[in-house]
Amino acid sequence: MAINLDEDNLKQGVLGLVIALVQIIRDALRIQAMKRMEGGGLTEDEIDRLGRTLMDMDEVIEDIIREQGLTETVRSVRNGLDGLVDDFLDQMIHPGNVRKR
Amino acid sequence: MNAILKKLVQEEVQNLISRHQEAIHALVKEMLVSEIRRAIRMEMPDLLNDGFDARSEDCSECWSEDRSDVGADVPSDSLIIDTPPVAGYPEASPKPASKKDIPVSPDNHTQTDCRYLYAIAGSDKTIQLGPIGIENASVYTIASNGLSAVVHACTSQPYQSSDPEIARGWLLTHQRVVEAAFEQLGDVIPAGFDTIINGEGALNPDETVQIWLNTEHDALISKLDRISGKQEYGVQIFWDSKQIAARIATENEAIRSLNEAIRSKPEGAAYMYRQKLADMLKNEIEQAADRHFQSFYQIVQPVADMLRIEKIRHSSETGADQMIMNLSCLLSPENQQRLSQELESIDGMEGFSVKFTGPWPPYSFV
Repeated sequence: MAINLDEDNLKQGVLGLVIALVQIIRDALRIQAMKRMEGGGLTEDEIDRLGRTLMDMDEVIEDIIREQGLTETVRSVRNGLDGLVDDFLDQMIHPGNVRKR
Repeated sequence: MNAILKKLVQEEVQNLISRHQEAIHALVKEMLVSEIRRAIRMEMPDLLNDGFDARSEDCSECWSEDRSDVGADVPSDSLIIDTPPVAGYPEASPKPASKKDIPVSPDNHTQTDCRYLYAIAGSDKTIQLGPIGIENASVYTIASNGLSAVVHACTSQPYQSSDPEIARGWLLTHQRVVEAAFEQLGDVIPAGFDTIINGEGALNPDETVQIWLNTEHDALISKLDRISGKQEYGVQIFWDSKQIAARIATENEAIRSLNEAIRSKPEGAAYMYRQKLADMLKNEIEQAADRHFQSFYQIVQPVADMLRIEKIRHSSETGADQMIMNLSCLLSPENQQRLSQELESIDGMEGFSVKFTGPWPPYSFV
């Protein structure tokens, strides 16, 4: 299947991919932060600082997405990755009905 | 802080892009191609009739399987029962046709000594169903010993196309013929798409089909017995996850008190606790979905003759009701009545809706 990729398209795609990856890293950081908070090893002050940092990160990512008009691209990359992980997990959990692709 | 961070991230992103430009280009191309393929696969069922989608998806899988298994130059003797999808016919090989190198061309339908199989019916009426087959082929039945095969005459060339539109049309036609057979002949065992019985070299290909029906007679009869007088229905239960979330948020004590506490927290801490709140809510929703699945299953299970849990399909539209249960049920008429009453009471529950589709030929149970 051939796809037409013009210059603009490519830039969007690359940026979208990078931002999606940055988002995923951000999510991983957030999960770590949550774990530490739940573990009770953080003071309220530290929790506040962590929260602010993550918030700032959210803001930066949102800014880039808005400025570059990447909402759709990022969404499709992430949906694609989610689908991939879904399929993968499905195969791990139900090894019986692995489908030929 | 904000400005520095922003600059850092931007710099990092730019560095990343310039350093790995080529790899990223390749990656993006790769991802886009598979994305588009996936999108087509995902979209195909939506374009088809509701309730049929799961099955057509299966068929499209068979179709793509065939494509990889059977190359462009199909050896003309390789196709006895061509495709795997008709479950339980592993040894369904009437004696292999003689190995003549008959050239097969897809446009030239002169060598119509094979039979494309739509379904097996439990009645030995010989009837014409008219030109309703794939590419307007004339569909008729070949009867033997209380069974009949619903077929059209074809070449040994399987139906395959790289154009998803065409393939989709064929699938739909296949399903319509199965339905027509089901209406006119009663119980049918639907065959998978592209099931071709090879009668090559035989003087009378219809006879080859009869021989095959006779060899498989007992197995086919016992399959038909299992589904006799019963029809397949699809049950899909949806809920409005937003409404459910709102209900949980007011009813769950821990969530409500955390929500209260957040108001007095400083900005950053509030952010963290909001995340925690979202996690808790998500957890509760999942548990609720599980509980409902269990309780609905308890309702459906006693009235279904046979039951299969199908994969939940997520709607691509945001804000649409979310599917929490997807079942295929084989039902006798009286059970169909009972189930539809049970489902009505579920449908009446606040925030829930039920889609009850059918009757279909028993695709999921043969």
